[in-house]
Amino acid sequence: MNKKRSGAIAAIIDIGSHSVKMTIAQGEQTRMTVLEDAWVPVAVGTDTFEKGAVSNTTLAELITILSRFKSLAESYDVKDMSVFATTGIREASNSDIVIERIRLETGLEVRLLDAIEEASILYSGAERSVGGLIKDSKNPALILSLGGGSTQTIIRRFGKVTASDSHSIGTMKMADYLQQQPKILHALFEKNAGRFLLPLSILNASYRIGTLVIINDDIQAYLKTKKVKKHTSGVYVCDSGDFISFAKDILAGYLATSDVSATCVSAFLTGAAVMNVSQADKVLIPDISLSKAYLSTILLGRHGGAALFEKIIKNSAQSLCKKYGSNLEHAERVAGFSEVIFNSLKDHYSLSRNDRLYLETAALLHNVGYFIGSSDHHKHTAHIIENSEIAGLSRKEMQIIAHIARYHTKSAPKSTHPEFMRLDAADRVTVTRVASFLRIADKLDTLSKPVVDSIRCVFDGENTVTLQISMKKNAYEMFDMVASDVRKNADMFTGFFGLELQIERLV
Amino acid sequence: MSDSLYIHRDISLLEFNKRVLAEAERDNNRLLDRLKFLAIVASNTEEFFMVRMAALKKQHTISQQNEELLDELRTRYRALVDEQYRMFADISKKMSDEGITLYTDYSSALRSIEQLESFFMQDVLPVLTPISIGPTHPFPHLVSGRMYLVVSLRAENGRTDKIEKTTVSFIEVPSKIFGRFMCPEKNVFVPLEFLIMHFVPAIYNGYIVQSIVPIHFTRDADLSIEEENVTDLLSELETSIKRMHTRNVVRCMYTGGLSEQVASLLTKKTMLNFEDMYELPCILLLQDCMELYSKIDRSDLKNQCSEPFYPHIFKTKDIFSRIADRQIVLYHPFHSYRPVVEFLEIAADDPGVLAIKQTLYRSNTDSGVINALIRAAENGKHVSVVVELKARFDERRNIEWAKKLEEAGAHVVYGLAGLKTHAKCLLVVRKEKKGIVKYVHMATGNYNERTAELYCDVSFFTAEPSYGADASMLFNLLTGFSYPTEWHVCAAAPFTLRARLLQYIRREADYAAKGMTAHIILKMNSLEDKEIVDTLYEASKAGVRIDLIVRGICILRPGLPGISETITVNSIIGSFLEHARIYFFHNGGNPEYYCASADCMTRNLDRRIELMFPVTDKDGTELLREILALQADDRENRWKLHSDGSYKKISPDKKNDSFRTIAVMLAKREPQKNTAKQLSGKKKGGKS
Repeated sequence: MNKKRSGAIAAIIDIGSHSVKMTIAQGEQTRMTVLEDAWVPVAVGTDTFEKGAVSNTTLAELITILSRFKSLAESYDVKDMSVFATTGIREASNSDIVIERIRLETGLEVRLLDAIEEASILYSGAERSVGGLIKDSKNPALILSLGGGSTQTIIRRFGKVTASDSHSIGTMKMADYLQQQPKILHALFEKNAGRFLLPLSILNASYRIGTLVIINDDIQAYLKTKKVKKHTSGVYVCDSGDFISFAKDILAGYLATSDVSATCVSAFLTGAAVMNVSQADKVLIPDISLSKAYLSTILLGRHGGAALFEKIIKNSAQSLCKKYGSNLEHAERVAGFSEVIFNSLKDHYSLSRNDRLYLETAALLHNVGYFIGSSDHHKHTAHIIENSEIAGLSRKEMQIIAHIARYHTKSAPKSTHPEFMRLDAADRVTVTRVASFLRIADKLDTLSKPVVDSIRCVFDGENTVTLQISMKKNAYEMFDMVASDVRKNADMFTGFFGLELQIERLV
Repeated sequence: MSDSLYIHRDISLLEFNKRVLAEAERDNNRLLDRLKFLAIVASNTEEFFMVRMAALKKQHTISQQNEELLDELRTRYRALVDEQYRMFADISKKMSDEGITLYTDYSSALRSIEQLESFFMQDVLPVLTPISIGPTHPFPHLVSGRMYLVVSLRAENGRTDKIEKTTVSFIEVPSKIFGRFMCPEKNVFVPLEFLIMHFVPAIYNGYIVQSIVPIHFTRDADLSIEEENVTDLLSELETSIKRMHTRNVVRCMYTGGLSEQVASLLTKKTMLNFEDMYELPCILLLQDCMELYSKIDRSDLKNQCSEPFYPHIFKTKDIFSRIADRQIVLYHPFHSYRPVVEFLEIAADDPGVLAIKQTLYRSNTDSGVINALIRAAENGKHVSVVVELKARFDERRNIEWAKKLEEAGAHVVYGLAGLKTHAKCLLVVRKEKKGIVKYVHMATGNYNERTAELYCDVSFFTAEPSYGADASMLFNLLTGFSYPTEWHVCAAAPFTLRARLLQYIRREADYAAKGMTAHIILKMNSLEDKEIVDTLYEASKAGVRIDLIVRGICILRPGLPGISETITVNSIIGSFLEHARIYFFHNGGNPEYYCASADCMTRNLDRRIELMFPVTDKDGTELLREILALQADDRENRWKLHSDGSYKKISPDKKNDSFRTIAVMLAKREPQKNTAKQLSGKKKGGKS
């Protein structure tokens, strides 16, 4: 997502589980001005979670609202309009029909946002508004995005994302707990809290966190009505006692008069349960939503620019690498070599920033498959990556990275590889192109000790790439072996780019 | 709190009409303006019967309640009518002294009537349709607000034909076609019904006309539509209007000579009580005297007015950058309404303008506002107009506008089911180099150029984003695009307005409790909501100084020991209709000024879409401060409400006529040459 020029206007429609929202905004240097913020409740989630599919009545209602939103966006001459849907439609058995009907009747193309992409967008938005308020301490922060149909969790420690996860339970489903006896009700919320805090177990023995960040519309709206003061940065800051007593009051109010929505109650009770289990000191509630966060990435670029975002992805990939006991030093050396080779061709072949991001991530993760077993570790690697989450990358991007990592060694992609063939043609090309660098880089560091000190890569602009290898002291004699391994593994590189690879020893 | 703490709203409304009626006797109003005030009272009381008496009578029919109240209101109304006709006789006589003859008695008008014979035969007679009652001709549905002649007939002796005989016949007086007053010669006026009374016996062949009596019915005019189940509000409302002549009759007025037999027929057929039959000493429908005001070309008999002046700040080629610079407050009718219309006209043609959104409650015929909206739509702008079809008594006109706008391509919506859209708001979305800018106009008065010449209202322009965001939210809500979220600076009914007003009143009470200065000034048309009144009582008990300027209904009793001792209530009645709602709160020395479309009435706060907006700009707040201060000092048009519910006029002092002092104050804020000439005049007549 590239940053648009200042003054650009974009619109986002977010079809959530219990409402449809539209935000129209314009980018102004480093900030975004919201021009329209509209929402209408629609029970898409109720249909999907109770009956498995979106009903015709709800769909008709949805189409009417989307037509109105489209007309509103047109009144601002919006050219850049995106519509995305989350769990409510994603999990409906008739999601394809719903999307097609919307396209036919409104002309709007709905994109299903997968959970991991949702988390990455929200993280970007959350980081923009609460990043400065999270005190870094040994206890990490938990960012909890509570949607109607799903929940995303991101663990952040020392400014880095260390883990992320998504859960197919949201405030709508949890609202069913409210019919239970108080004791059971609290136990159910605490059970969920335990699930959300599970990734902490790889970081510390307890579930303890320092700060809890909750992204949830109902909580924001409730605090607004209660005139709770915001921090100067526009974030609600509550200490744990205040938040838990809010939750108690809301539950009591709900049981007595039902004057608050069930989803609001379950959002508060979830937050309170997480605070209880994790002993968090304070809770931050930023005034963001998925649509606003998404819009800010369109208009302003990802928070802190692409570089910071790439850093976040890199941190997540490093955490994942460590989680599976992979050799991080080796992974980082391979990543470094890959980058040098990549950079030598980047301008000539207009290689994208995303290619470089995928290459680096795949390099960091290419050996995680050893966690399962050394035999076919490249395939295990692909399996682990495909089933993991990295904040900032979509499910589809994780698939691409999984394949790049898979082809770091052994066979090159073939038409007989069913998983590879299931990718789109364009993605298959990306995998082949990017993996070709990784295959070379990996062979520069295959021995038990690092022997290559540094490399240079020179492209003559026509048909030859020269890889200059500087060996470590006392390892000069290993050059021929390294060069031979690299040549053997350069088949994809030479085949894809049609270049000759020359290898020289740099003295 | 007990009811004795409140003045009954309907009694208060009749009291208001008494104050308006007093204008008809006031020396410094010239003769034809005095006549005009009589017309206004007639029109106001007609509305009172159509709405309030109709509602009370309905309640009475259902629950047998309000008997005493209805009697009290009838008694007060009769006294008002007596007073009205006493003044009418006086004014007619004075007109005669001035060489203007207005015939109010049929028998004295015969010579002039004869002069109009050929006009009657050629023009009037062909449109007359006698509607007779007989075995096969049921009692007709007589339309509310129109005048009919009841003709009592007796078949001539010796008629042997077998044609059905009748004893009573009705003829509608077609004043909508010909006007009410015919003018056989200069400055001589004959009511149209006299002409018909004179010549019509000729059309009843075979009958002897025994009597002809003008009558006039008033029917219940409340168009309550169950909107929830209505798919097309426009056509539903059209149908309701067409059926209006079948609504309950709530009042019948007639002049002398109505036989007992006919009177009992009328009461029986209209289910009317005798108490609701009002015999008048001379001509009916004094509201038609408004026609005389425009027909009589005697400027010496009309109040002289200072022309509205065009505010200097709008004399610019770039109206948008002026508004972008600062908040602008105008006070009509002293400030011309042209800038509002011109702003729309410029927006309609400006290539950068993408969208125009506007609320329309009441508008005038040949409206510049609507023409500009139509032009904008034709120019390809996104034009959204929220037309309030249910604006009482303007339903028919609003339907016409709605259709015209739709034809031009504007997106016309009819607001929210069950809630009248009373907020006055205009939003212009403009694409500029730096991005989208929202220009907002909010007001206390309708987008009606004609009433803007007669009503005192505040107009407010700004391009501050927080107002733009609130205006967007209002329109998204009204057009069904969104539910409301958080209002940034404005408060809207029925969502946050009541709570905000109560919050501000209580905040002053808190200041008073801490021994700090606490002061509230609320200027509005009507104060009728009991929760607001009770909160004002509480604030008064806490020691808050509360000055209320309430033109019309006020149910609060000021000066009650221990309850409302610190509250004063004044009503300003004069040249223009006081219509602006301005709310001031001292706020511990950080004064806050708000303007609103809403009065403090339960219907406004709970059942209408209303908007209250703050004025924060230094010039704007200073202007509002001065208006309130000058009105508080008024000694020419001000009536003080006493705790017993009566109003007493403040002893007059022409130096302190707020309509004049405000005009002078506003003129001083303008470059001198702009207004010197205009201020040399005195005053203009207006509706109250």
